Amino acid sequence: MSSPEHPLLPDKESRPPAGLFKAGQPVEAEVLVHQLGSAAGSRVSVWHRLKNFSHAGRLTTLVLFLPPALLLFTLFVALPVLEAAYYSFFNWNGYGAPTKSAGLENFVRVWSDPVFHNSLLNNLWVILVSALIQIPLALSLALLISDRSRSSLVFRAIFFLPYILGEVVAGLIWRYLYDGNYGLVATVYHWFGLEAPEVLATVGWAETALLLVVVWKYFGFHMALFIAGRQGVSEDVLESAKIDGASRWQTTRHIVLPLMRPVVVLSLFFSILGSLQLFDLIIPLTGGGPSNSTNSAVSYLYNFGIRRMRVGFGSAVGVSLFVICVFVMLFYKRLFMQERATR
Amino acid sequence: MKKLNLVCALLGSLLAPLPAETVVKILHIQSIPQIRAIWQEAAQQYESSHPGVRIEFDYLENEAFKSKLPTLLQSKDQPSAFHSWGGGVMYEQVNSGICKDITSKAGADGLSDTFYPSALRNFMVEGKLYGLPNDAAPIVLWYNKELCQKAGVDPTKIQYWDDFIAAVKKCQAAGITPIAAGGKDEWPLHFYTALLMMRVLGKDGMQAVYEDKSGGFANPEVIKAFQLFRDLADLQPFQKGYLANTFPEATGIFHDGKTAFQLMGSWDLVEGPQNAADKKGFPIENLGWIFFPEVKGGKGKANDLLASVDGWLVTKDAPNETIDFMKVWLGKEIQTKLAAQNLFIPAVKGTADAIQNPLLKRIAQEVSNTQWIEIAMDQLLGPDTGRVLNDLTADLASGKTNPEKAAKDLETSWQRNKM
Repeated sequence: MSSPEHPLLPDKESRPPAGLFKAGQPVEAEVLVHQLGSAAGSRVSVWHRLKNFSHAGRLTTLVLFLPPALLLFTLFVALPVLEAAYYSFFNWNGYGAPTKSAGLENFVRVWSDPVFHNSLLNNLWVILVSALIQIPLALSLALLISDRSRSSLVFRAIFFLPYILGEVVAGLIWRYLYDGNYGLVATVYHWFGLEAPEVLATVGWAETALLLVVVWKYFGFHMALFIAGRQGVSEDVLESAKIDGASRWQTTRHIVLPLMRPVVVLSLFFSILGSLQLFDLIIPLTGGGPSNSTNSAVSYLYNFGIRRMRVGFGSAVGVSLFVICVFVMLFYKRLFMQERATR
Repeated sequence: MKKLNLVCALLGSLLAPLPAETVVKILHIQSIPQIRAIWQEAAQQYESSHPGVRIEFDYLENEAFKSKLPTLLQSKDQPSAFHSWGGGVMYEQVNSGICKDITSKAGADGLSDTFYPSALRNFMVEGKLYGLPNDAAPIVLWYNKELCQKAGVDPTKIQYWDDFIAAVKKCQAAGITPIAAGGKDEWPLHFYTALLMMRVLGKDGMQAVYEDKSGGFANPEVIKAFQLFRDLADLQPFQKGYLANTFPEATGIFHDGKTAFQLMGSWDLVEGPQNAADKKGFPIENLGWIFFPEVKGGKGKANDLLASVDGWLVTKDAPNETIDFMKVWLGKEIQTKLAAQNLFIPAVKGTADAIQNPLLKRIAQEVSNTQWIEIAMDQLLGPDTGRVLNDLTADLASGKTNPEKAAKDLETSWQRNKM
């Protein structure tokens, strides 16, 4: 490879072009550098090149951080899902290893159970209420208090408080509020001299009560997102709109809201995800009752799968829920989160 | 590689703990402090005479206990002995090999003979013993003497179901809520359907049901029992919003003096007043109990008892000291102390006399006299069918299902879960 003229000089093909180096100057260092940089052109592998490339640090970072992340993901996400899929084909009480194969029986039973249908319906209700009540509420509040005045900051803190509460705590608090004998609801009714309804014991009322608690708990989170989104709207745009004579309402409707579209889409995404996972609020509040009317998909899994020591059945519910989630997310992404490359 | 092995071995031996004392871990659900205090006494007594052994009591709340148990029993935190209600859940545990066969060990010094045979039977599977009983807690109909008097009801005259219905109606006429029940927990309600089944079918009838004769649960007598419960529920006899009340809340309402009756186990004597608003409840002179009424034309007798017979199952890897400790802990001395404080009815023979409280004493006497103790059905029927029975009873009470459908659903679930 080295030329007969000098042991370190590369042969003619890979020699740096003539005139690159000034005559008379020490040539060895540059030759070395050039040799390293493109050692004999394509005759040395890409790996070699990459390794010695000045961006060597990037690959190291990749190698260092990717395996742990992959490991955690596999261990705590991929593996459990696969295991649940495996268990769902068995009739298993949770002790020892699954032995009684049940084929598709668990899935048939899950999907033919009216209580499961009702649970899915409850999940749908939560999504609808989030989309049609909670998000508009959070949005309007956000638009009202997104400035930097002190009163706005105070209100922001107040509205965010419910979100900070643990879900079990929130469930318990509302359980006492709704109590028909001693709760706040009862007290209000008694002021008017009326008998308080037993909200959590009546089938129709309990579901509405649950939805109210869900809205109360999470609207602060969405409000915080929207405030951030609102503050991201450039002041210049608003100023020019003002100069053009746009009214407050017109500005809001035609400029602020469209610019906040990505945040609203993200917010809706979170709320759909959250409502599919709803469980912690339900158990202390109603336990899924009365008469299994306030179950969500996950509390159904807990009540009918885990508590009854039918782990295979519970796994079937889990797998079904997983598939539903994946479809919903894909569909949602497609519909709302497409890159607007063509615009 | 060899070098690596050597290094690991050295490190391991350095880090390995010194030979530890034997630990006997008992997992329980007991929340009453007086009981736990006496248990601690037993532990100290045993530890002082057996150096090198440590007794550890771990507590879990009822529902948390039920949910966590399968995982705990299969982990390295496996207790040496744990609370059990017997019945279907125990069958599942024994069949999965978690429990130790202690027939010979317990029989050795006559330990198993110190218990009531019917209580001991609750922890046997196919003739082999897997645990020891702790207490027998029958379910009786408690009543508030003062409220009954106000309503013009004499509970001691209630002999048949129709008498009870009449008493309920009288209470309502006097503006008194007849019955307290924890509908959210569902098992307090299932006492009614279980006892009605027992009263209608009798011992042999129930046995035939379990053996799938005459259609199992889907037979006319079970439907009749469910119908009788439905008749009661249609009167709306329970406290307002009972479907949202847990057992502690409901018994609190009873001991606040708000309802005339409560169908509950004998543990309510201790647990009930603690849940009242003033933590004391109404004076004990005001409290009485009667047997659950018979059904006219039914085969069951008034003193056939539905009871919770609780005990302790021993796990496979439990140290031998576990049973040794149980000789002290479940022995006559300690159990007599517990009986003397009226805390529960021990399953140990000869301790009933130590009970001071006349109400509890009478119940204990019935335990030794009765011909039939049936285990609370939400446990007996297993974790799945038991909860199905609970759900069905709550649905019958709220009107969501009817007796025929309920019986059919129960039978379907029972068939599905046959061991």
